Amino acid sequence: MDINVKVKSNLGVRAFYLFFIISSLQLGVGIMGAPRIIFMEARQDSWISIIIATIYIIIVIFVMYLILKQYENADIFGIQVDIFGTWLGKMLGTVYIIYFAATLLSVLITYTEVVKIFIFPELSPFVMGLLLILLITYSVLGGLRIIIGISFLFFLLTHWLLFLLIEPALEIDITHFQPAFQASFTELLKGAKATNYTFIGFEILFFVYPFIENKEKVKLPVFLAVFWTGLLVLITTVIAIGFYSPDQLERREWSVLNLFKVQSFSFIERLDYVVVAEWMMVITPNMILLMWGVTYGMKRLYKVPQKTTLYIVSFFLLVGCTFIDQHFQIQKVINGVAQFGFWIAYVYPFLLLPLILLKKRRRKRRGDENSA
Amino acid sequence: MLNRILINLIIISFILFTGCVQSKELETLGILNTRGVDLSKENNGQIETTLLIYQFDAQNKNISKLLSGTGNTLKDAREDANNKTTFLLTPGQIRLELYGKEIAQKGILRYLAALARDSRASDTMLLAISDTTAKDVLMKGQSQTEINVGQFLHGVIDTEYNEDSLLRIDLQTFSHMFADIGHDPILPIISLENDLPKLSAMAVFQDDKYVDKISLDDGFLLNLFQNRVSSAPVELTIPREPFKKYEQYKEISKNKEEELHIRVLLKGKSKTKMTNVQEQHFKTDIDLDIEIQEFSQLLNIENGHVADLLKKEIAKEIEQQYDTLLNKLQEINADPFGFGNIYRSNKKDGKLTKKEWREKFPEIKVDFNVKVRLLNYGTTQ
Repeated sequence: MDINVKVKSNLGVRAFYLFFIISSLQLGVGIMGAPRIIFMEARQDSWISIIIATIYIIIVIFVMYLILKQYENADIFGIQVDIFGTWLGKMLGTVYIIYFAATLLSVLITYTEVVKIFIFPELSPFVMGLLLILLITYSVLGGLRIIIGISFLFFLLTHWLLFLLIEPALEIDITHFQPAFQASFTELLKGAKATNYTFIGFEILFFVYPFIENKEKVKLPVFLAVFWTGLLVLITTVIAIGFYSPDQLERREWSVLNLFKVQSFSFIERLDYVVVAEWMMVITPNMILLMWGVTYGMKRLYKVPQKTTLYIVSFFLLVGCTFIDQHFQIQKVINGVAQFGFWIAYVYPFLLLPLILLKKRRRKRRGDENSA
Repeated sequence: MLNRILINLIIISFILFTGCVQSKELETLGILNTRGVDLSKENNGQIETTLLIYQFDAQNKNISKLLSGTGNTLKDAREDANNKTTFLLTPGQIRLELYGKEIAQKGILRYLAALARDSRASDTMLLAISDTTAKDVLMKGQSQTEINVGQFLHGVIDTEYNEDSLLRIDLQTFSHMFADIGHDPILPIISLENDLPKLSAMAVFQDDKYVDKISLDDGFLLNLFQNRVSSAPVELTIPREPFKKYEQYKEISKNKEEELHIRVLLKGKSKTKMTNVQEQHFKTDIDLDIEIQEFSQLLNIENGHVADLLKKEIAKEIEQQYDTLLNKLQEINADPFGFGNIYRSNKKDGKLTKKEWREKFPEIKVDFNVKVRLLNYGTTQ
């Protein structure tokens, strides 16, 4: 297996698109319930937790960038094989693939549940899953550039939803944030950790890095994407805490979706229906990118054709989303993914970096000896 | 060629996919517009709902219909009502939920919780209390009003909300006020006058239980306390004595009234601070911009002195109204002002229980401080 990836020139993308790739993968089903989960840990100081989490992710991204910079044009699969050898490296790569597939499953079942609760209570999860998976399969068949195009378009097509938050924002009750700075440091950190399911997705940088044409400009769009996601989560959380009283917020499962229930226009009375449907556009790039990650990883590691993986994974997802339909099962999957993601996305890069630097130094020394 | 097949496939799938979900044709639906909730008279512990629905039936000219049903839960009662009609009752368009007096005194939290749980129920539906039973108001009202009585009541309440006369309270605001510690909700009361429903007062709640009522003017004071009011029509009553020498046509006036009534358009905002957190002393500054519309006497505002006098008297009057209202609420021991919330947010640890505030509220002291600016008085002096 090659450590560095040779990308055909027609497959490359500009670094600028990383902004859309990363922010659309980060924003998904997590943000719908994020305010409540953060609030339960850090209460009125949740906003500090979100800022802490965002800063932490920016540091992680920087570490990831340092790791990738040590190689000419490698992705995480190549790097792991280089550091840990073929066997262990491939095993760790498989962990990444399983993690992506599990995240994909969690997004799928969460959204199906939301649609069932908000719009069609009678809808069978099989039909909903089939529709979404057809969409995913079709888009992934188009290849990476199509996928990035979708992320770009759907990013622009979904952000108008923010304007609908103006009305609840006007009803914010400032007293809900007072007295400020009550949470202890551990509570703030717990709150920050509670954001992790919402914020995961930036790991995709490890996958798409080889496809970037102008690598010197990678940093800025990635940082902006993380900053943007952090800002959106911050805004929605602040609005939710101000709008709902603490007791209400603790009991609202999808607090952000509930925020859309207070607007009404003369031509459309219940915007929450529109928003839940529109949310499909938020999660579609999300699921497509994850699916691409799975198929690409299998190809890199085991040389399985991407189409084969795509069809097989789609089938298993369909089975999974048909049978996992109870709320607490879904929560279990989400919590599992959040735990998994915490170690893989937030902690692992810090362990990987020293190993890589060590190896590089040793290799350099050996090189010096040879030349001497 | 391939493209055309693809497009056809997409169009066909669009048509077919609509079959995947349950269809709801308008003609088969009874769309709930207003629901009245009462305690059932026959069966203890059960609730009786009175439902006003729209049904789009080709054979019937009258599209609104009144139904009732009893059950242990709201949904159960709806099912019961559904057995009396061929239409499928859907709750997504309920605009107004009316609670009977008796049930409101027992507490309405569980019905509100049911509404919050149901994603189909609208968060912006209005809530109101009936002076008798909800059934009475809806039944008698329906026979008296030309239009659907639910729509009528919704209109009556909504107009007051829109002109800023009352605090807008929908399902979300009510639950918000209830759940905030140190803040009790209020709701409008509908009563019957010659069998015609009418907005008559505001109900004061202790948590979720209706305890007493205050006048609509007091309802406005609460609104001014909590919101920025942009232009509310208000009538004020001030002593006539200081203005006697500025009255016109004194010689033909036979009016012996001691008071001067002024109709004003009022714009204002308020701000409350705590001056002493330990002793629960509050200070509320209220800034008002006033436009005068009508006097009960022919008053001539010929110079700044009269205007100053008016401002002073109006400020005094509003301060007094606030003091009276606060005293009354302290007697009832219900806090729709939300002073408890302000107290909690100023407290060091930010912790307060509902019980604690019930004990403290009757003892709090508030200094209302009204500042009036007289903007204009129409086209005549």
